Amino acid sequence: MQTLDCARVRQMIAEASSQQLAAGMPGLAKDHIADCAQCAAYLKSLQAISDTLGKSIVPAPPEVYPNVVSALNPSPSIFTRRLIVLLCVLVAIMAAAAYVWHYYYKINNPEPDTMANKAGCSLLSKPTQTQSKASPSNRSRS
Amino acid sequence: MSEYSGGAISELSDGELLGLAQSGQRAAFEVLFHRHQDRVYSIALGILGDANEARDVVQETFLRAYKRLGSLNQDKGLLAYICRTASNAAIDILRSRRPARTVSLDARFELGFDTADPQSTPDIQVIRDSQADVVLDAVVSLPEEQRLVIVLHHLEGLQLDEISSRLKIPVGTVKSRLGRGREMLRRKLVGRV
Ligand SMILES: [Zn+2]
Repeated sequence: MQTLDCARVRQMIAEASSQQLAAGMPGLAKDHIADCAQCAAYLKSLQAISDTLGKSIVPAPPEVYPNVVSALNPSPSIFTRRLIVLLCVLVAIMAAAAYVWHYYYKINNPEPDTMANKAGCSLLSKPTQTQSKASPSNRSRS
Repeated sequence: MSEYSGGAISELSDGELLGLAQSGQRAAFEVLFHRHQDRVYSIALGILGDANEARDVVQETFLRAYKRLGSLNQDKGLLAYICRTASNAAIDILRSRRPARTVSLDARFELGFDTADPQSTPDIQVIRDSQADVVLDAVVSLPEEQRLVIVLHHLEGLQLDEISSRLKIPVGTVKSRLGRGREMLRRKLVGRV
């Protein structure tokens, strides 16, 4: 009958799949282990290694899911963001140009101060003929 | 698209959740993510040994899975698909970062299997009581060739012949790397190295 020495059996144990380890090893190795306390103890230690490895699951960092979600809902690309900034700048320039144009237009084309008259702001407006007639000196004479 | 209203969504199987996710329910995808993210992260960390790279691999893996939701099969193992995607990505990173090596570690690394040292019961208990992070640290400290085989077999759950075709190495080489890796781990965990 073929027999195995301890060194060969331990090599077989170390190289066995986790399923073979859990099943206590196949064939000739199993027979040897049944009669050899040291190889049986070696099998137990490798079974412990196998079981422990199977449970060696560490927690993933908490930021992983938020990162995945933000990748699934992408924020505007750099190009889009630059386009938005450019549009804002253009609108600001146009607004400033309109303001400046309006300012010089008013200087070059002064409006008749009808508004001031309507509001009765005579102090702000140039004295008109009617107003000079109604001046305090005229009134005191009359 | 109506939201799932048939009870606790977290109690559904992967296949059922995948079906809901395929119909557009983001909550189902979220449950799948939280159910499997730790295993995927541990596989990537075990292979790469770098927390930042492992985190990126997890993100990329789930993003890829989300984008391919429509083509994933509800009957086939979703976890197997996710783990395979993650380990392939991690192996690609590993290969891109190292210089080409011509001498195999198998040839250089000689470690006898423990024939002289009877295994004591306290040692076995020390191994069983080891915390997951300690064990994973010990895995990461292994040479790359042993580490890969250990992670693919024990964390991803691949059979030895599957590892052989994934890594394109003979099954005998897979076995010898597995054996040496386990022996080194055993010694590390019981404090003999
Ligand atoms: Zn023996």
